Amino acid sequence: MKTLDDFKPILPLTFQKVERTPYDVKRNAHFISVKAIGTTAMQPYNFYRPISKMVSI
Amino acid sequence: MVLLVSETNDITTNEVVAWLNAYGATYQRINNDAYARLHRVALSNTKCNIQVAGIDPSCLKKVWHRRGSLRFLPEPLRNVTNLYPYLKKEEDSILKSIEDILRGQHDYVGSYHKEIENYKIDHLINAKEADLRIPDTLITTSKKELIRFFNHHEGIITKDIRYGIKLHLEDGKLFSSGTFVVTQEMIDTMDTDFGPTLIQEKIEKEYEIRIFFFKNRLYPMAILSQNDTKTAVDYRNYNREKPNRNIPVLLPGEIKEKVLQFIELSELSTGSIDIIVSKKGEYVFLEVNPQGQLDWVSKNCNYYIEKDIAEYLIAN
Repeated sequence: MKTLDDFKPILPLTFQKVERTPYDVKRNAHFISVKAIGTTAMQPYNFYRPISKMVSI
Repeated sequence: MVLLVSETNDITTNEVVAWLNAYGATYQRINNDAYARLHRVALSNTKCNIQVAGIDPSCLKKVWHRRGSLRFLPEPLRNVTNLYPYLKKEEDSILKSIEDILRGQHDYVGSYHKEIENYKIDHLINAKEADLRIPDTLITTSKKELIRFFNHHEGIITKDIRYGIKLHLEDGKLFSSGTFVVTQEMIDTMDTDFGPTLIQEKIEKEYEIRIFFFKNRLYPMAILSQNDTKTAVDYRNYNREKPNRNIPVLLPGEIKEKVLQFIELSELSTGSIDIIVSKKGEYVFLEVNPQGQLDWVSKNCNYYIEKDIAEYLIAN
């Protein structure tokens, strides 16, 4: 399986300088389902259709 | 009644609450880490009825959305790694609509969605529209374009386009290093094509300014970050052992007007703007954080921002 370093040349430039921090405690194995990359960052939105224009309280 | 949406440990909210108590105001605070029961968002052809966490929206006078958001997911669902991203997106779409509905009916300051939709490129365009100087910026996936930009400027920096890197690997966590100077060696290691990357010209700074704004009121603070190698590129590469000196500063009238115009164009009611004052004396817009920290601005500059916010929230 490929590692993060294998992807480095095609990752955004920000990956040229990242900080690694070891886990404080051994993580439960089922949380690590993706070997290379997994993120907990919030995902951006593609498109919204707000309904506020159509209704009133 | 005033509704506060925040986080349990947010010091600014705690201090605003202390002022609200001192003024005898009626308020309800909902924290991001608590479960907020979504009783209903009921739509019909004649009405829209919302009830969240037992609060009747008709009793609300103002809403201050300081940090985080309401949380409709019961606690056990927030730790299910594979399920959570989907549930979070579903929750967020409800939050967006509820925020829009409440904003249409009440004085609603702050926004969860302005925070998570905080697109640097959009803000740079708005700053340019407001006639604020911005750094030359390139977003590219092409090494050829990257090299051209690199050769055209005396120095360039890169930073995250939206989200800081926060990855869980098998052997530990991976975090962004913040803003950093791009070197020839870094470029040499890159392939012909790579993931979208934001680069900007490096501007030699005299100092930086953090402007907290609440509605149309600005609270500017100078950050003397230029003499510390750790913070010279960006004060957010914090030196926690020897923090930068931070002092209140006055903005020139012309810059103040442009900042206010930027705020209007961005449709933000509160937030924190980062500006560089260059060696040439130019005020250069960098970015804005809709839910940024303001405690350090308030304390370093004796602005008593929390008192101003509390007074705004209880004013008619």
